[in-house]
Amino acid sequence: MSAPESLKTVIMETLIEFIGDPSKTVTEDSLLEEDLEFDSTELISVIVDIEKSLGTSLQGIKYANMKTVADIVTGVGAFLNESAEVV
Amino acid sequence: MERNVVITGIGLVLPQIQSLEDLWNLQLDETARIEPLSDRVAGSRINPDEISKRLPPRLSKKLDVFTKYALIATEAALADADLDLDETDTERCGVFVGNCFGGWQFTEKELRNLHLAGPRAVSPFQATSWFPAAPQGQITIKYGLKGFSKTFMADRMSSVVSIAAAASKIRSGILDVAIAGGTESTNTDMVRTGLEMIPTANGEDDSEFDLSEGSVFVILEDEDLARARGARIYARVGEFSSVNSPCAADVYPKNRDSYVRVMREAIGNEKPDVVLSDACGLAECDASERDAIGQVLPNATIMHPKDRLGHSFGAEGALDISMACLMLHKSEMMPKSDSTDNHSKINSILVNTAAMGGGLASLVLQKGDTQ
Repeated sequence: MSAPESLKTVIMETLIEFIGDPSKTVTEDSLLEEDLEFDSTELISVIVDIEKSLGTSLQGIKYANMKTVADIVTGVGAFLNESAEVV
Repeated sequence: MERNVVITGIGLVLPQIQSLEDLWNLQLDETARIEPLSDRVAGSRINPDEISKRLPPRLSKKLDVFTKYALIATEAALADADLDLDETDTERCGVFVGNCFGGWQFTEKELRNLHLAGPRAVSPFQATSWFPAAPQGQITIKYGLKGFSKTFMADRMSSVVSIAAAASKIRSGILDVAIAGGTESTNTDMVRTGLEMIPTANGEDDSEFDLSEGSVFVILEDEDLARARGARIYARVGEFSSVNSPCAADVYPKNRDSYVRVMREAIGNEKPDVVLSDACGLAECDASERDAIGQVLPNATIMHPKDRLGHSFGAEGALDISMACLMLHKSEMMPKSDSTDNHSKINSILVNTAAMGGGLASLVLQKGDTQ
């Protein structure tokens, strides 16, 4: 499994666990607000959960423009890459 | 024209009380609900297992238990009233909540997280779970209610004040329907430690000031609208009065004349048959209240339903009001093993309550099955 695929899996699993509703279908295209009924505090909470799942800090990640599940995957991936380059 | 206000539904979450029937039979039930909660205080508490599965997990993890209690009690009250909010003008339906302490079970855990692991370990829901208006917010969000709503923090008076305020908004035509009552969680180290000092602050180290927790909500409606939809009517809401009897911030009022004044203002020319007294367990306060009742309503029967539970602060006034509703609706005194009262004489009931710092309030409930 490639690194982005494993990242996507972790994020999807974390989102599904957070939502806790088997009737909700979560795909990369799912809209966070309209489809999954996220509000801004829930988005922060799920990013903290993703941080714990990954075992790494996402402090400073920009989440305000994340509208879909794919945006979270892309945003977290980019943030981790930037952090690795800085190190 | 001023409208009449009636109570058409009751919902509750209280220690080992699952239904209105349980509440009604509280004094006959041999279950020992009051137990030592610490070295210095006793009381009753809700088993978390009884509520943990009653809300969706996604919602549950954002909320302190005092809001969970309120959501469960509200749902039960609406079901009891058989009121479909989809057929109600949501701009004319409001929520009135009494609460004293906010959400300390959630907060204590997050303070430990902050101390042990730093700010990133604190839940983003900390602020919205703690604040005392959280139940009001969650109830209005859940049911899409847009009418005037408010949360009242007045110690043990809170839910009598919230129900009286709701009735006032319906009476004046601002609302048609209100969900009103109170909620409290006292089963936390922080709150318990604060409350342990009450007997000492009142100069009565050995008094029995027991704690409880939970939530009680009632549904209030404009009487004409309630009758038009065929609602069962528990009681009509009568006059409310509150007075200030100044004393120290951590002391309950002891002035007999203040008790006389607040009751007289509430009852006017009425002579309630029953008084659900504040009977807080502090000897001096209770003696003043008892003397005042003897002067104002010498023939009234005095009862105190919350004896078997302890003080649930934000919820306890609504508990008394609910018991008054059941008595008026059934035309029976609350069952007690030693009761010999005539069952046919209950036309109105006075509910008394008090707050630290000098607050006293009284609310009249009247028989609601006559037009």
